[in-house]
Amino acid sequence: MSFYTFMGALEQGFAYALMALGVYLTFRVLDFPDLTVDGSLPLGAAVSATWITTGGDPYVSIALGVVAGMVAGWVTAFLATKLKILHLLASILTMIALYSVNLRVMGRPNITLLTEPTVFAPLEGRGLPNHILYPLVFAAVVLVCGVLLWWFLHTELGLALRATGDNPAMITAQGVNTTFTVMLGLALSNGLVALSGALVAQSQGSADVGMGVGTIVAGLASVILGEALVGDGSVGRALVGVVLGSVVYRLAIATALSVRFGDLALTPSDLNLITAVLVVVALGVPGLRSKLLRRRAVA
Amino acid sequence: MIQVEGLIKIFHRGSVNENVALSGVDLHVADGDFVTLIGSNGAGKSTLLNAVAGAFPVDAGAIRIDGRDVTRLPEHVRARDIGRVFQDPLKGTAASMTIEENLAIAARRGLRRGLARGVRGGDREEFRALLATLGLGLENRLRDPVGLLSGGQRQSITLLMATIRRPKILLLDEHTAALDPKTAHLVMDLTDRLVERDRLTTLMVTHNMEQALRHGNRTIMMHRGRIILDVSGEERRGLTVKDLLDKFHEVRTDDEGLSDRMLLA
Ligand SMILES: Nc1ncnc2c1ncn2[C@@H]1O[C@H](COP(=O)(O)OP(=O)(O)O)[C@@H](O)[C@H]1O
Ligand SMILES: [Mg+2]
Repeated sequence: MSFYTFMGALEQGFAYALMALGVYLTFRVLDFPDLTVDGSLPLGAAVSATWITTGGDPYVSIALGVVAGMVAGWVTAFLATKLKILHLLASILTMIALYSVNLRVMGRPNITLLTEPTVFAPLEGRGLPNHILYPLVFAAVVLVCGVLLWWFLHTELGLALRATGDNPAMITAQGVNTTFTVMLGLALSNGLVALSGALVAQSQGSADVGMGVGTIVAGLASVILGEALVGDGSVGRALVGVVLGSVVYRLAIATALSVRFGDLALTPSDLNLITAVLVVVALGVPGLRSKLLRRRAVA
Repeated sequence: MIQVEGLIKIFHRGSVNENVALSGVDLHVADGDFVTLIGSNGAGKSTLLNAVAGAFPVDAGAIRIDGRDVTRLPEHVRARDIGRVFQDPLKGTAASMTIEENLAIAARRGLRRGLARGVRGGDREEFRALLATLGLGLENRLRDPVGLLSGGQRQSITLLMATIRRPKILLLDEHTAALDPKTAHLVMDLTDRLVERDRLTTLMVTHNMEQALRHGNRTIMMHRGRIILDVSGEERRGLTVKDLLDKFHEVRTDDEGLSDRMLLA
């Protein structure tokens, strides 16, 4: 792998770490498997790109993208809590609906931003080449968001949110409306995911209606990898793990794409299969291993 | 403090599984009363406590707490006035969160939760002092996840959580039943101490007749969704476990007589 490819993987690792933090918030903290992210990531990108191409400010476009993502998360939470639709199904419904919404927002399947102003533009041409600048910018954003998330999860509200995922009966008995905490958690999560989408669109110079496919699987892979690498003993550890997991995941993908097996070379279109296998292994191996160990202990 | 009037709760209403869990319960509990609640399995004891706590809507009747009609209020709103401990020691605490975080959540019961620090510097001293009263050594383990603790330790913490902000009523549903006898004894001691300290109006379900007579100042027996015995004062002091058992058998035999009669008819 070339240095250039390595930096590219690092950039992606940090860019999608924002999304993975969102997935951590729903999947692990709230115990709510939320597939909305496959739709809210391109939603953030679509809103941001559309705003920019119609002459809007790139920073404002990101704020709008985040708000749109938060609304999407809130809709899923509404379906699950108020209408009592199974959480997984509720999130799939929002995800599917978002596909149409994203096409409506953009008015076409993709938007190019190559000639448009982005949040990265003012930083370019100041001595740092882009393949070093971009990973640094994303790392800085991840750091800020990660610290904010850590802080939030230790506030009064944050404790209530964590308890909602851990033990809803207990937190209800302590006077907390779990409908509210679930809505808050999903809004925050999908806000982060949309932020990730908006920044990715601006850095790669395009928003595409299909860019969200496999988001949840990549997010899960990052969360699980992080737990394997760093553990999840505390919120701080878990957050560091998620970011690290995301970076390691993108590096692993880049490595997989750079090797050839005789005539066979993996292409980016194989990524979802590889990732799915990775997640299956990560989720399945611990159970399998303890089974094997037990069998060996018996023998 | 608690006024329950004509309370009816029917599960699976209108289906073949229709089940009348409460069939017209009237109960007035005065401020500072400690009521023990006994009755055979399925008598409706848990359903009565859950109805007061607001776990589900009732089919008829009214519930007032401290004069306020709460019949239509959701569970989390009523929780402002209610401390609860469940039978399952795992149900009252969040396992993945630390002891101090669990206590901090309870310390904000009924208050607005915002973006202030969840566990504040001053909290820790208070928590440490409270935990020290348990005599379980937990005062030095504030940052341990609750999931590492035993059932008895978790139940003790749940009791502290239920009472850390003085509740208007305390609801205990067989909260020592899942513990070994020694731990159950410790938790029951703690219960008495906390109830006395704050003069808490308490409703405690137990299947242990001796416990029902030894603790509290009033005992109620339920059967088939009704209150069939309600004793306090002099009358209660003279009561023995045997009297309670006799009463049990009496209603059982009545039931059998009833079904015999139905068979004959
Ligand atoms: N959530 C529920 N759904 C359906 N039936 C229930 C539910 N809770 C209790 N019941 C039924 O109501 C009756 C009273 O139960 P419960 O109040 O738990 O009795 P107790 O606590 O006195 O043993 C039982 O027949 C029980 O099966
Ligand atoms: Mg019961």
